[in-house]
Amino acid sequence: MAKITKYLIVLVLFTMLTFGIVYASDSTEPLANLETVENYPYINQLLFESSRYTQTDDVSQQVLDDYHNLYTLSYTSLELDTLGFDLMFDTSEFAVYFEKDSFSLMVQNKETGYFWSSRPEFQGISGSREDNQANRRLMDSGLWVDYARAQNVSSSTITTASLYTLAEVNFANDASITPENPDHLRPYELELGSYLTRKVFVSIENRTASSFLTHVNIKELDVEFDVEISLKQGSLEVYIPSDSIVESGDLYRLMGIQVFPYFGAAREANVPGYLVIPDGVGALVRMNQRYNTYFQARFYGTDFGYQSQTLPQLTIPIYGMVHEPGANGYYVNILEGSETSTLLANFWGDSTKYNRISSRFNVRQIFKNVINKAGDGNETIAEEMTTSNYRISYHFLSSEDSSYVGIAKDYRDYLIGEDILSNQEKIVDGQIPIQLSYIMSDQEPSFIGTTKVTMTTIDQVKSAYDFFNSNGITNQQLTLMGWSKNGFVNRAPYQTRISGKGDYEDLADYVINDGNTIYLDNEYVVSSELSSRVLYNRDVAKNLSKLKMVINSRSLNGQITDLYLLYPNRSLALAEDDAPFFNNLGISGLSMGGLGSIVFSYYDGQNNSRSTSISFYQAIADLYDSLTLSRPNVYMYSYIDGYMDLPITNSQYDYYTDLVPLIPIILKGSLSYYTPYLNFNALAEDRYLTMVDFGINPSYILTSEQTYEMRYTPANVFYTTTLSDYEQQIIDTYQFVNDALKYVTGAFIENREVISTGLVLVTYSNGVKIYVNYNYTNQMDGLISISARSYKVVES
Amino acid sequence: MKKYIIALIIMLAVLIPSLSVTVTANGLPYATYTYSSANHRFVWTQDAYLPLSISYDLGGLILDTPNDMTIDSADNVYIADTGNSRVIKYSLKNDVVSIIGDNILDQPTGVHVGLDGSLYVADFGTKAGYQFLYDELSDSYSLGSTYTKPINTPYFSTGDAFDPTKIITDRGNNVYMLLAGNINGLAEFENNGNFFGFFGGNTLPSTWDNILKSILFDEAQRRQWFKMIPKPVYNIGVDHDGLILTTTKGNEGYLKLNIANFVYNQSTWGFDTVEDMFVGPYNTIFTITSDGYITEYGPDGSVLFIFSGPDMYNQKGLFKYPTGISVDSKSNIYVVDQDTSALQVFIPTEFANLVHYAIELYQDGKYAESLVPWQEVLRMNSLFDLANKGIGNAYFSEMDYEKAMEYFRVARDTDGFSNAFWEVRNDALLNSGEIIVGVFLSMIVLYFVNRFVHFMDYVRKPFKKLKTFLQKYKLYNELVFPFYIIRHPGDGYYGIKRESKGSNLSATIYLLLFFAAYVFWIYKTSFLFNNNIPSEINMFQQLTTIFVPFFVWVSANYLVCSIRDGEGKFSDVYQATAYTLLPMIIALPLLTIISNGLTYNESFIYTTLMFIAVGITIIYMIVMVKEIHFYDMKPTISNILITIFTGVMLLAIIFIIYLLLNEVWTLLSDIVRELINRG
Repeated sequence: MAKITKYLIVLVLFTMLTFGIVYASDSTEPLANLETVENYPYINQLLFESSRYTQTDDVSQQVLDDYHNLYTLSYTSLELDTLGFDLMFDTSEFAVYFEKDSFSLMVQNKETGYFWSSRPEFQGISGSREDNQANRRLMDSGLWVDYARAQNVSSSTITTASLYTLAEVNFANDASITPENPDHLRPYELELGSYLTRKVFVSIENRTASSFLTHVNIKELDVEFDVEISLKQGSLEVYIPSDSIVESGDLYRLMGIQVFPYFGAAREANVPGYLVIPDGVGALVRMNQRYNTYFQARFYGTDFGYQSQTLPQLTIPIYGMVHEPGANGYYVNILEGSETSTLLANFWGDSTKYNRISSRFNVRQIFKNVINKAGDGNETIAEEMTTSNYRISYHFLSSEDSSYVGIAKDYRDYLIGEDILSNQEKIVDGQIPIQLSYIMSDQEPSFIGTTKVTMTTIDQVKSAYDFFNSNGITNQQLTLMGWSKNGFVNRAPYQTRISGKGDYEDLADYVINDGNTIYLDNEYVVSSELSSRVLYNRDVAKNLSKLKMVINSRSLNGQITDLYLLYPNRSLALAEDDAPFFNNLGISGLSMGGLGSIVFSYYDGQNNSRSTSISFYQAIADLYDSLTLSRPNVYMYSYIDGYMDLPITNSQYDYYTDLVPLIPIILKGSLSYYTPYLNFNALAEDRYLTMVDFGINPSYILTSEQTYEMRYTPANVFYTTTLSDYEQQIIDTYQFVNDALKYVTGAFIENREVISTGLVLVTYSNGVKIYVNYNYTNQMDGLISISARSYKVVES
Repeated sequence: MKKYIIALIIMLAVLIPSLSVTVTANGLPYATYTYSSANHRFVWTQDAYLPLSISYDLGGLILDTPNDMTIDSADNVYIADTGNSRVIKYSLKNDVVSIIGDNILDQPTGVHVGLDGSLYVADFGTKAGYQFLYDELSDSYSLGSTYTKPINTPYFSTGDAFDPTKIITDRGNNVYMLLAGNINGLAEFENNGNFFGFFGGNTLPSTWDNILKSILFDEAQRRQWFKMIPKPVYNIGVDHDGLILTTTKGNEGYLKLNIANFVYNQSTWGFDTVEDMFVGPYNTIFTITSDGYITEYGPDGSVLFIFSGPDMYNQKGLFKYPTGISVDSKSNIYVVDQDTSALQVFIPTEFANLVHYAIELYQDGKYAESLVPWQEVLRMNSLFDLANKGIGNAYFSEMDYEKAMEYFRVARDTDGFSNAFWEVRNDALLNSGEIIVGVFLSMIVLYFVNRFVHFMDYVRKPFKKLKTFLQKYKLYNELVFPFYIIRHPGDGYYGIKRESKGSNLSATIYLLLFFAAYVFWIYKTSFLFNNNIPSEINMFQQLTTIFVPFFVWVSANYLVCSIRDGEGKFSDVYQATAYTLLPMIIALPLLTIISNGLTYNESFIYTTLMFIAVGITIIYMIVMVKEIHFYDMKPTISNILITIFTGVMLLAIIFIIYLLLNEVWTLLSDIVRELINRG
C-alpha cells in the first residue's frame, strides 16, 4: 500500500513539474495583452447605433398607431373632385389624378390603397394658422421654375417660383384645421378667380389612356415647355423634352425646373419612415427628428467646369422615400438628364414642417466670367440651354418590397432589363475573387531628373501568384501599376514603354490560362505636369470660365504638382493611340481611376456639357473588352468587369441615421466589387464583417521590396505594401471572407434585415442565409446562435 | 505654415476622389497624419480614431457656449456650460446628466477634477475659483474653498485684473488658476484658498533684437515702448506625474514644466492656435486647435497623430469651433464644440491601441519587449518613423548594433545612429586591431629599409617622368599654379596679374571642380552632419546657390574696385577668385569621407576641419582682393564691404525688374482675356 502511494506521489509531482516547465517556457506573446484592450461595452453599443451601421426599423407602437389612424392619407373621389383633380389613368395597379392649374398629382396604389400626393398633406393639423402666403404657393403647386433676370445674374438673384406664385393666387383661408373648421380640404381652397391665367396657363393635350401631354405656358416669364406624364409598365414617367423649352422674351432666363418637389412629403415625425439618398454606398435619413437642415448635391460628383464643389458622391441616379418599411414607399429613377440634375432634400426644421426629397433639372447653370488673373469677374450664364432631356420615373413599392432593399432590387432589375448588368461575377472554382495590385516601380527625384526605383519585378509577381495559388487562393485578379518606364503616381497617361515586354506577355498568358485576369493601370482623365504625353496648351481642358482646369496639389513634403484635367476628346485620342499596344500585350484590359468617377463640362470654343464628356468616356471604355474602374458612375456599368474601390461609407453628414448597402445590393450577382485596399484598413474585424455583410471581395496593394524603399517617390502615399508582411494576412482574410461568400457566388441579394442592433441577416436568391454579428457578445436568432464578431452561413 | 498645407491637402483630397485613395479608405471625412521630426515631413498613416457620435443635447439638456471640459476617473464628463451658468456632469454610459453649481456660478470657463475627487471650477463672471466637494453617499456636490483675488499682497494691486479662466490641481492638491491676460503665469493657491505665488509664465524668446533691447533699455521702458512682454499662457493641463503643461496662442505646441518652473519637455512640432489640451491614459498629450485639428503627442513630445479638421459641410467628425477636449481611460476622445454646442466622441482603432501599447513599453524603458509591437506598427505603416526609432532602440538594447544602425538610418535618428555606429565601429576596430598594428609596424620597417636601400627613388621615378612630361603643357602649369599661390600668395597673385600665369580655362575648370566637390559633399556626407535628404536636393537650386553668388561677387568686385582705383582686370579677378577655391576643393571631399566614419563624440573633428577650411578660404579671399587690386589693408576691407553691398543691390534690382516685367505680362494677358470675353 505504501509503495503504491509513493508511486502515486511521484507521478503527481512529475506531472506537475512537466506542466510547470511547459507553461513556463510558453513565451508570453507580447501582443497577447493587446487583444484584451477593448473599449467599453456601452461605447461599442453606441457605435453600432451610430450612422456607420444600419439600424433596426423598430418604431414605437404609439407612433405606428398614430400613423395608421391619423396620418395615413386617404381621399374619396368626391373630395378629389372638389379639389379639382381629374382621373387621368385608371389601371388595376394605379389610379392617377391630376389637377392642371396647380400641376398637382395624386396617385393611388390600388394594391395597398395608399395615396401618394404631390402636395404636402395634413396642412393645418397643428390647429394654428399656417398661412405664409409665399410658402403655401410653393407647397401647393407641383411645378417650380427657377429663373433669373438675363441682365443681372448672380446666385443670389435666382428666384424659385411655382405656378401658383406666378399666377399670384390667393388662398381662401388661413389653412388651420380646428374644431370650428374641421374640413381637411380647407388649406387648398383658393379665392375664386385668383388664379391669373393671363400669367400662367397650363393646357392638356394629346390625352390617351396611358399618357397625357401638358403644355405649360408661363407668359409672365415668356417661357413655355411641355411636360409629358405617362404610365409605363407599372411606373409613372415624367418627361420634359429639352427642345420643347422655348424662351421668347429677353427679360428672364430659365435656370431650372422642379417637378413635384413635395411628392410624398412627410410632416414632422408623423411618418415612421426614411429618405433614401444614394450617397457613397447609401445613406438613410430617418424622419424621426427635427434636423433643421437640407441636402443638396449634384449627381456624379463635382462638375469641375463650373468650379462648384459637391461633397457627396452620388453614383446612381435614384432617390426615394419609404413611408413605412414593409408597407409603402416610392423611389425615382432619373432615366435621362441625371448629369444635369441636382438632388435636393429638405428636412423638418425652422423653415418647413415637412421632410421631402426631389430633384431639380438644371436648364442653365451659373458660372463666373473671370477677367483677370486675380480671379475677379462677374457671374453669368450661358445663352444656350442644356441639350439633354429630363425623364424621371416614379416607382411605387408595397408590402415587403417597400424598403431600401426593395428600392435597390427594383433598380437592379431595371439595369438587368436594360442589359447594363449581366451575370459577370468573376468566379473560379466556386471561390470569390481577390484583387491584388502590384506596384512595379516609380521614379525618385535624383540629382538630374529622376531615377527608377523598382519595387516588384514580373518574376516576383509570378512567384507571388504561384504562392497564393498553392495556398488555396486560385481566383486572383491582378493589376499591375507603375509598369511604364515613365513612372507611376501623377504620370498618367503613361508612355507605352515597358522593359521586358516579353515577360509581361508571358505572365498575361499564364494568368489568363487559369481563368484569372490581369490588368494594367492607366489614367486618361486626370494628368499632371509630370506626364510626358500631355501638352498644356493642347490637352488641358478649360472650364466654362475659360480658365485651364489646373489643380495645385501639394505633397506632404511641400512639393507642388499641378494636376490637369484633360479634354475628353484628347483623352479619347490618347486612349486610341494606346489601345493597339495593350491589346497586343495580351492582357485582359486596363484598370482606370478617374474615367468612371469624374465627369465635367468644358469649354473648347463652345460650351460642352457633361453628356458630351460621358459619350467620350464611354468610347474609351469601348476600346477594351475588359475593364475595371474605380467607383464608376452608373453610365459605365455596362463596360466594366470589376468595380474597384467600392465606397464603404457615405459623407457622414450629422443628420444621416443609417448606412445601407445600396450599391452592393444592385451589383451582387452581376459584377464583382472590391473594397478599397485593405492595407490601409484601420477597422480590422469590422471591415471583414462588413465585407461578408455586403458581399465585397478583398483587395490589396503589394510590393515585393520593403515599402520604405519608395519613401522618396510620390508612391509613398501607399505607406504599407510589403508583400512579406501581408502574405499571411491575405490568406487569413481571404479564407475568412470566402468561407461565407463562396456559398452565394452569382446569387442576388433578396433581403437584408437588421434583426437587432449589430445583428444582420442577408438572404440570397439561392436560399442561402448569412447572419453577421458585429456585437461583442454571442447572439441568437431563434435556435441559431451566432458567435461574437463573426458570421454564420445557413444553407437552404 | 504647416496647418495651411494640411488644410489644402484635406480640401484637395475632398475634391479629387479618385486620387485620394487613402483618405477614404476607412470612410472618414478626414485623413490622419503623423509627423516625422527627423525628416521634417508629414506622412499619411492609418486612421487612429473614428468619429462615434455627435450629440446636440446631453440627457435632455442643451449646451450654450461650452468653454471647457474634463473627465474624471469614473469616465464622467464635466462640461463648463458657460452660457447657462452651470457645470454639467454627464455620463455617456447611461446618458444621465446632473447640474452642479446652479446659483453659485456665473460664467464658468474652466473645470478640473482633482486627485482628491473634488471638482474645481474657474468662473470668469464672479472672478473666482470654486472647489466643489463630492459626497459619494448622496452623489451631490457642496461648495468647499473659494479662490479669489488676494488682498494685501505685493503681487496684486487694487487696479490689477483677476480674471480666472482655467483651473487645475497638482499632486499635492495645490490649485493653479490661469488668469486671463496675466503674463506672470498661473496663480498658485493652497487647497484652502491661500495665495502663495505665480508659476509657469512664459519667458521672452531670446532673439537678437530682444537681447539688444534688454541691454539698452530697462524693464518699464521695454514694456511700454516695445510691448516686450511675454505672451500670456492660454490653457493648461496636468499629466499623471503631476507635471503641468501650458499652451500659448502664437507659440507652437505645448510646454511641460517641472516643479522648479523650468521647461522639462516640449512638443517637437505643433500648431500655434491650440485651444485646449488633455493628457490621456498613456501619458500621451492631446491638443485641439481652434480650426479643429486634433494632435496626439507621445510623452516625450514626438507627434503621433494629427487628424480631424474644420467642418464646412456639417459632417460628423469635423468641428466648427472646438473649445474643450478630454480623454477617458480607454482612449475615447470627447470634444465639445462651442459653435454647434455639440459633444463629439471619437473611439480609437486597433492601430491606435497598438501604438499606445508600444509607447507604453517604450516609455517604461522596456525596449526589448516593445520590439514586437513596434514591428507590428511598422507593418501597418512602413513610414512611421517613431516605430523605426523604437525598433532601433530595441535592437540597441539587445546589443544587435548593426540592425539598430539600419533602423536608425531609416528613421534618421541622429543620436541613436551615432551611438549604434560607435559600437559597430568599436567592434570593427577591435576585430581588425591586429591588421592595423601589422600595417603600422610594416610601415616603420619599410621606412628603415628605405634609409639603407633607397628603393623609394625607383617608386618615384615614373611620377617624376610624368611630371616633366606634363610640364610641357601650359594648361597643366596653370592648373598647378594655385598650389603655388597657397604658399606664396603675394607672388602668386602678381603672377596672375602681370605674368599671365593663369587662364580663364583653368579658372573655369577650378570652378567646376568646386561645384563637383560641393555636390559630392551634400550628397555623401553622413546624415549625422548633413540635413539634406538626397531625393529632395534640387539641382537647379544648388546651381544657383553656387554659381550665382560666385559671379555676383566677381562682377561686383570688379565694378567696385575699378571705380575705386583698383588695378585688376575682370579676367584677373575671375581667375584669382576661382583659384582661391582650392582649399575648399581639397577640404570638402576630405570632410565628406571623414564624416562617414565619425560619431557625435568626434564631431569636433568635423567642425574644426570645416572651420579651418572656410577660414583659410576667407583669408585668402581678402588677400586676393588686396593683391589683385594693389590696395593697402584698410581700403581692402572697406572695398570688400562695398562689394558685398553692391552684390546684394545687384540681386535686388534684378528681382525688381523681374517683378515689373511680370506685372506687364499679367496686364497684357488680362487685356487679351477681357477682349475675348467682351468681344
